[in-house]
Formats: sequence, C-alpha cells, structure tokens
Amino acid sequence: MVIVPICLTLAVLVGLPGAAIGAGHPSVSISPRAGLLDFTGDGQYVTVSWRGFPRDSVLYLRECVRGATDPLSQCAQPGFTSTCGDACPGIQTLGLVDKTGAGSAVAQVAIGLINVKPNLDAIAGKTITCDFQNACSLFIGTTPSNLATMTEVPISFATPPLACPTDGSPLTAEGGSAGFRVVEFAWSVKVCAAPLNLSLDYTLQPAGTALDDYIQGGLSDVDLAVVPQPMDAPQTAALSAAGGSVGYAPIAASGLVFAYRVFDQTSGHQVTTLTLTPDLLAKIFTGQVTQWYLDKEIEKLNPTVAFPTFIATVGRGDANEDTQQMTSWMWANARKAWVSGGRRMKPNPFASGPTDLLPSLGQIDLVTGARGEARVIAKGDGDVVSTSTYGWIGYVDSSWAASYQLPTVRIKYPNGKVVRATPRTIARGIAVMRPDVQGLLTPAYGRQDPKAWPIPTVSYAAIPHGAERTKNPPTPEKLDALRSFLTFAAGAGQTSLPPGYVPLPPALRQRTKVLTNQIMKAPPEPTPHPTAAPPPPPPPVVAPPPPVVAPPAPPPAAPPPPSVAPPTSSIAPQQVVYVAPVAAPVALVASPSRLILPGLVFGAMAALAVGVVLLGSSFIGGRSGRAPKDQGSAEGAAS
Amino acid sequence: MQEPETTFDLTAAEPVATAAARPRGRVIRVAGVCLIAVAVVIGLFLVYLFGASRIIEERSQRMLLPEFRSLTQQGPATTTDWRPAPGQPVALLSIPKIGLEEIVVEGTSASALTQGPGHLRESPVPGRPGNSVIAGRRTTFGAPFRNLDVMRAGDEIHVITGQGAFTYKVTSIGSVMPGQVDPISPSAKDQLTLVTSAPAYTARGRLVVVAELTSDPAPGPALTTQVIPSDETGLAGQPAKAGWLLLLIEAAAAVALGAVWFSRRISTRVAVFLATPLVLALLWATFGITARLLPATL
Repeated sequence: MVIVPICLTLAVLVGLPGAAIGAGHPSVSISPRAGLLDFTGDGQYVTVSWRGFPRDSVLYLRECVRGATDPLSQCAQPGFTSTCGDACPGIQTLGLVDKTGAGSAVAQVAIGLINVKPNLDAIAGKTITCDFQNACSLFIGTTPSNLATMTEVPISFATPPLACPTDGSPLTAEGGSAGFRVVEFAWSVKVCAAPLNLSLDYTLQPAGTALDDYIQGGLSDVDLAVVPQPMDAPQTAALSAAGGSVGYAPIAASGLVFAYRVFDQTSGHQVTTLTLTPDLLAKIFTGQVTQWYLDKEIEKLNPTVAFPTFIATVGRGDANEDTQQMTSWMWANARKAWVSGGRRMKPNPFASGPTDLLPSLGQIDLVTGARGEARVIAKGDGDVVSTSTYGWIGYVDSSWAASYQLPTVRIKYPNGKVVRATPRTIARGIAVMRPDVQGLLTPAYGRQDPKAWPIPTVSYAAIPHGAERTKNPPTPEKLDALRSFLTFAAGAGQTSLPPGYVPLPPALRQRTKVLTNQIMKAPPEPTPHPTAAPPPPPPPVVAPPPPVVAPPAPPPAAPPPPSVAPPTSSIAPQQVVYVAPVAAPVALVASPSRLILPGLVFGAMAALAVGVVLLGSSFIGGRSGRAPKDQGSAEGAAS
Repeated sequence: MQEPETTFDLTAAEPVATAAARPRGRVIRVAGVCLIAVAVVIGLFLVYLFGASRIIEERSQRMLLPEFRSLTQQGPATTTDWRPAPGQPVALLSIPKIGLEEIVVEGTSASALTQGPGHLRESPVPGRPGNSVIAGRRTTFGAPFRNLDVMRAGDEIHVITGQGAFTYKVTSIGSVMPGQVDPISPSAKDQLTLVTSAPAYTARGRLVVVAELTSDPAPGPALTTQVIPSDETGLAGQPAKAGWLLLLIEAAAAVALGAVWFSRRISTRVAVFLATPLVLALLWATFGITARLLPATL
C-alpha cells in the first residue's frame, strides 16, 4: 500500500522534467519498428511520424548500425547500392517540415547488405549489414551529415525464411496473394523450428494456376494450394480423372481493399482519408473517371483534400482471384456504372459479369502479379512517378496494403453509410459470409452494411482429403508434414498474424481441425467412379448464418456440373467425430481450497468490524444509561 | 458506599432493567473482544503465512542439503532405477535469471512444498525422459517461485541429480486456467515444467514455465501412468489435515480453562506466565496446519 504513493511521487518527479525537455524537442516514431521484413525485395515500408522539428527545414532519414556515430562508415550512403536496390536510397528525404513541426511520411528500410557494389559484392570499410542478427537504427533529422544532431530510433528485423534450416520435411505450397504474407513470411519461420521442422515454401501464383498445379500433384510438386475459391468445373473434372481428392481447410482471413497513395497538394502530406462511392470506384477501374482534380463527385466526398491531377489506376493484367472478387463486388454494387465503361464498344467487354481477367484496353495500368500491382501503387511506374501529378489507386489484399503502408478507401454506399476496412469490419464481414455449393464461404458482396467489410477473403488450403487415389499418392511423411502444418495454422498460427489479417473464427478453425483428421481417417473408397456417388449433402453451415438482407448472390465463379459430383462433397463437419490424441491430457481443475485464504481474510475483516461495533456500542450504552436499547440496535446491525 | 444509595433511589421498574442489562452488556463486550481476538489471530496467521513461514522453508533446505549430498555422491540416487521416496531430496534446481538455488523434494503436497520446490511423484525425475514437473510456492514458505513470471524463452535452468548435471532451455511461459490442458500431463518430449500458482495469492490456475532438455536424457525406469491424487496437484491443500485442527482447538480450550483456574486459585501473573508459551506453541501449530489446507503452490 505504501509503495503506491511512493511510486506515484517518483513517477511525477521523473516525468515532469522529462515532459519539460520533450516539449519543443524533436521526437520521432516509426511504425512498424520491430519485425521488419523484406517482403518484396523493396525493403520494408515504414511510416515515420515526427514532431517538434524546426519549420521549413527538410527532414532526412538515414539507416545506420545501432548507436552509429560516423555516417561515412556506419550508415547507408548515396552512390552505393543495397539488397533493396535503388528503392532505398542512402539518404532518404522525408519532406519539408510544415508550420506545426509535425508530419509523417512513408520510407523504405533496406534489409540485408547495405553499401555494396552493383553486383552485391561487399566493400571493405563501407558495407554494413542490417538484418535479424545485426541491430540497426534509423536516424531522422535535418543534417544528414551529422548523426549527433539526428534522432535515433532503434529498429529490429524479423527472422527471414532464408534463416530456416533447409533439412526440414519439405512442404510446397502455391497460392494467391491473400495467403502469401502470412504463410511465406510469418508461419514458415515458425514451423521450420523444432518441433515441427517443416521446410515450407509458398510460391505466389493466381489461385487458378495454384489449383491446376495442385491437381497435377506429384508432377508439379505442389502439396497444397492456398486459394479463396474452389476448383471450377474443368478442374474438378481433371481432379476426378486423375483420381485425386480435395478438401478445403480455412487457414487465414483477410479482405480485399482498395489501396491508394495520394498526396495532398497543399500540405504535401499523404492523404489518409479518402471516401469514394461504389459508382465512382467502378468508373475509376473502367477508365471513365481519370482525374482526381476537378471531379465534382470526388471533391464533394472529400472536401478537405487538395488532389493531384490524374488518377493512376492500377489493375491486374493476369487472371486472378483478386480481380474476380473486385469485379464481383462491382457487379453487385455498381453494375450500371461498370457496364457503361464499355458502352462504345461492341461487344461490351464489361457486360459479361464478374471475371478474373480485366479487359486489356489501355484504360488503366494493368500489371502482372499481386507483387507488381502493390509495388506500382506504392512506388509509381515508369514515367508515372510524380506525386504532384498523379495519385495511385488499386485493389490488393489487406495484408499487402498493411505491408506497403498504404491507406485504404472508405466506401460510401448510396444509403449514405460509410464502411472502412478495419480488422473489426473485416471480421464482421467474414461472420456474414455464406457457404457456396461446395461449402466454401463467399462474401455477401451486395450487403451494404457500415459494420461489415463487403469483400472479406478466407484463404483455404486445398489439401488431399480422405484417401488419396492418384497414381503417385503423397508419402506418409508428406501427409504428416501437411497435418502438422494445418494443426499449426488453425492453432498457434492464428496468434501470430501479420498486420492486415484477422484471426479465423472458431468455427472455421474447427473445420480445419476436422479436415486435418480426415486426411488420415477417411478409409479408401472402393468405387473408382466418383460419378456414381450420391448427390452432395446440403452445404454445411460453418459460420452462424446471420439474417442477411437478400444478397444478390452473384453466380458462383463456376458451379460444378451436376453430372460430376465432386469428391469434396463428403466434407460435412457434422459427420466427423474428432478423435482426441491417444494419451489424453487431463484438464486443469481449480480446487476449492483456494477459497480458504480469501475466506479467512474476509472473516477477519468482518470479525474486526463487528467486534469494534459491539465493544463501542456497549461502552456508549454503559455510559449513557440506555444500554438495553443501544445493545438491541447493535445486535440488529451485527446480525 | 455509593452504590446502595443509587439503587435505592431508583424506581421499582428500573432496577429490573439494570439487573438484566448488566450481564447482557457484559456478554456483548465479551463477544466483541472475542471477535477482535479472532481477527487478530487471523492477522497473525497472515503474518505467519507470508512472512514467518520462510523460516520453516530455510530450515528444511539446510537439513535437506547434507541428505542430498549423501544420496547423490555415492548413494542410491546415482543408479538408473532409483525412485525417490516422498520427502527425499531429488535434485538441486538453480535458475540464474531469478537467483534461485533450491533443493527439490519428492512430492507436491502442501506439506512437501513447505520444504522447498517439490517434484511431482508421477512424473520422471529431472534429467530422465519425459515431462518432469516441479511445483513451487509463489508467495508463502520462502516463495521459491516468486519471480518465475520474469522467465523468458531462452533462459537456462540447471538441474543436478545423482545422474549428472542437466541444462534446460525455456521454450515457453504462460498461465493455464481451469478447463485448459493441465501442463503437468505426461508428454513425449524431454522437458522440465515448473508450475506455481496464478494469479498469485488466489491460485485459481497455474503459472507455467516449460523448458526443453538441451542434452540427451539420462536413463530411468519406465513410469506407469497413474492418477495424480487431488492433494498433490499443487492447486489443492491437504484437507485430511483438518482433523488436527480439532485436536488443537481442544488443547487451546484446555489451556484456557487451566489458565482461568490458575488465575482464580493462585495468581494471574503466574497464569499468564505459564500460559503464554503454551498459547504461542498452539498458535504456531495451528497456523502450520491451516497453511496445509491452502493451495500447495500458493
């Protein structure tokens, strides 16, 4: 008890001078500061926020070894390259300090060797290393040649997948952008250590390609595909022909977001609040709206922003699941505006409904691959780099937007409600997803709900389900590796998610557990012709079905033809009994004996109180001569 | 001289009231004093539990050390099929991070844990294959595991048994609450599990530090999985000891009656002089028994 006031006094004594010094003194914060990771070969994007710098000075950032004093030998220098390439210059300009002295900017931190020759050879006395084994700092200040005047912010790096031992049991994954960040860069590093010892490798591919490679199985050496969508009809047929089987185990949850990089032309700061309507987004992505500046609708929605002139719209040039989700949402929310993008063309390329491949008409910048698209939004492309002329917008998974420090568009529905992409709204969006015919959850694209993000993504691992009947089935070791990975993904993996992901709801984790067990448990089916199988049971309800207000339910990407009953149809979680491990661990039971001590303490306090009251009342009663009455009242109080 | 006059002056009704009031007031006064005495005794118990009890633990540790030496230097503990008897020293546990160096006794009952950290009888002896469990007190009886919560992954734990010195590396730390898997369950991994109470003082669940053996385990006899008695899980007390409380209370009553008789017949001073050590001894014994009813790792 005495400690509390002492601590408070000490805190005040220490805090007051600290606050006095801090006022008007430069301070810098960096986000993220720990677990930095070279996600894409561009280094790590970080947001630098500052306060208390002199007005109108130019702020610079340097990356140096921890506690550096000599910029010539201990810092990244202009004129040399690094493993980050030209993307991370030796001295980065953060911007001009405005009259408030505060501001923020996005910078890139090189990870690996810094100050090397163009062929990445080290230079004696110059080359420094910033990685998970070599601590570094960022120095921010107005005089980049004098580190003593700059503010040092220590940063730390995540263990990269390359640091994993290579002798673990190999597990090759291929899949879409939504699962890439967490599987390749967060989980692979965790599962490569004991006790799992998995050598997990994730190749970024469009979901369709990943599923094709999964069907090929041993030929393409893909053990699992990570996709937000099931196989289409030809793929299902190909899998049946090969005698393979598939189950879809949910492993990660995120959302597709519209990410942008736009700078306010008055303040020079990056815009972090941008609101657009579904119609405007449809017009932007079909090339009908090409200017931020002087667009009445955009300015009405964002009255405080001084926009640059042109919209640099970035889309994906390959067929992929992100485009499929984006166009599905457009189709449900802004169909007329979307279709009108091709009204002068015959046939209208935008009139065919949701698609995984955007028409290549030169209307927007189409980039191949999720990596390419995110990089263009974050850095610009070719001649289109000036932030005073262009503002970029594109669609990426929320984990990519978070990694690239890109803000995301707020959508204002015709009913006036605005939805933002936050972990909470994405989690809510996942809760209102509905299962499709194969039991996979699809977003309620048409739901205009300010609390639920309309384009959530559940990444499923397509895995062998039941007994594998391909000509070269996976080895038992492979299945063991697969099982331990899925157990990790649905268990401990959900507690170590990078920014941009939300934890899987318990129902989905349970489903993965059930499927993991089925890899081993399902007996081999004797019937070689799955076409003779009974019709699929009704889709299992994985998430609690909330009252959805008539979702327009866009036609599924590819409904399986009724003649081919997919082998996946037997995944019904209700039918499977979860078998606990053989040596069942006991559950912890609290003991009632823990109640004795609190009982004694309370008893003592009560006894003391009652005793004092009794004694006091008997004394008072004895003196005043009205003892009986007082004693009666005291007894009443005591009882 | 005064009293008869005052009573005489009173009206007829009032003497009756006063006559009734006087003994009644006295009863209430005695009850008040008794209740306060009970509170003081409980207060003394708390002082004993969180303060004075460390004397008992320190004394036990001093007495265990020579026994541990003789057991481990050439004694039976050096053999591969040795199984410690309850109360025997099992190992020397040292954790540099929290400055802990204690002899581990066999058994995790509340009594065993008054002597220091205790080894769960159903788990393998530290250094042998499997999940070896050591429980310790967090706030009472020297509180060997008081600072267990500052342990972090990578910290080293050293254990010396008759079979050699073993180093464990902490892999995880956390608390386990009712309904979750009990970390003292058997495991295929060669690890050391340190458990104490969490939250401190209430002991609803466990604070758990799991450490992995960094070397090969020493050979040991196969353990048959058996059910852990409820008073050896570390979370419960030993309710069987409650019977002793009754005897002690009877003894206290006898001492009180004797003291009253003595003060009436002979001398109050002599009565107090004779009764005080007896009362203190009885209190000390009562506190010891009561402490064994509380959760063992408290």
